[in-house]
Amino acid sequence: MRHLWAAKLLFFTTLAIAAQTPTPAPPPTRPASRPTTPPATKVSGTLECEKPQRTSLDVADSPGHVLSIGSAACRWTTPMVLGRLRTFKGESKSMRDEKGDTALERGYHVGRTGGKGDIYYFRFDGQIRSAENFGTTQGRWAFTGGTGELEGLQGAGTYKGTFDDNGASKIEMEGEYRFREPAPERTP
Amino acid sequence: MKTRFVSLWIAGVLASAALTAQTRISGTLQCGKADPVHSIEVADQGKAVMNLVKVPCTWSKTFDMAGVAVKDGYSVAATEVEGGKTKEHGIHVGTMANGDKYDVHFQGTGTVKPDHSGTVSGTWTFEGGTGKLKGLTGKGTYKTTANADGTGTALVEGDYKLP
Repeated sequence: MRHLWAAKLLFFTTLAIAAQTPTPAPPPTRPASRPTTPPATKVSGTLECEKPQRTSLDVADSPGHVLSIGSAACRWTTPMVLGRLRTFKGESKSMRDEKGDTALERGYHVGRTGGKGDIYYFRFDGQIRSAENFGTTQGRWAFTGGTGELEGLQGAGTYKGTFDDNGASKIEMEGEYRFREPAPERTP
Repeated sequence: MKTRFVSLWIAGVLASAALTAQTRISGTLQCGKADPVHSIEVADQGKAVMNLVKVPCTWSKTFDMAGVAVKDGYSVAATEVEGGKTKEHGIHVGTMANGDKYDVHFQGTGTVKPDHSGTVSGTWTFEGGTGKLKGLTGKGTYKTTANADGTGTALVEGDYKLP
């Protein structure tokens, strides 16, 4: 009986102490403006490029095997939205290795946004398949940087599109982007 | 029965070894100045330049394939140069002393100095041939030293196989 009272006393004492113990504060949240890993944002757009100016060399190891380099002026008919900016126009420069109805393509795109004209850069590589009067293309792209508000731009995605019989193209792009955090300042 | 099985197995191993026998090759390819050279600059951060070139080459240290010596050829290549680094891929069409042809695909990476000299290392693959080299396969590596005047020397080694 005495042991039972002692046990009850211990139990209620424990409850009382627990009730007076403050609830642990939640862990501090990181400031929203400087996350450690910047969140990625989905992005998509449609790029239309004029017929490219290409220079070719026949390899002559097999019929129709041609290497070429070239450039094409492009504009965004559906712009990508990068933060507060929208892509406007640019230029794609690429090299192609064409054999039969298939070509491998790798290149660079440099473009400007509307308004202030901040610059964005991306690289791309993909495959082109051509039929009688048109072609299709698909591949991958990756932002390699930017200027102004687009400084530190990075991200990647995929693209697919079509070529008409003149070589003009319409490319649908989708992927994601983020801005690389600036390197921490050194303390003296 | 057990002995016969083992014998067949050994025969099979020997036969497959003969079928997959490859011959080691090693040579030195001297290449002249590229002609033509087509270039376009990319106005990106690294000031990349893409080049399309055709380069005449002659073997200064030859090797034989199917009993015939390699002689000369040409390479058609696309290269990217950015920030002192280069990436190339292309096709070499070679001619043997008897006129037979062979095709090689190659790709490599390297460094380029401001005076256009530099080095490139890469891999190559035989893509076929004509005459005695019909059905030619094989692969290997190369190291190119490019001179400031546009000429270059490639040390080539690898293996080939004929059907």
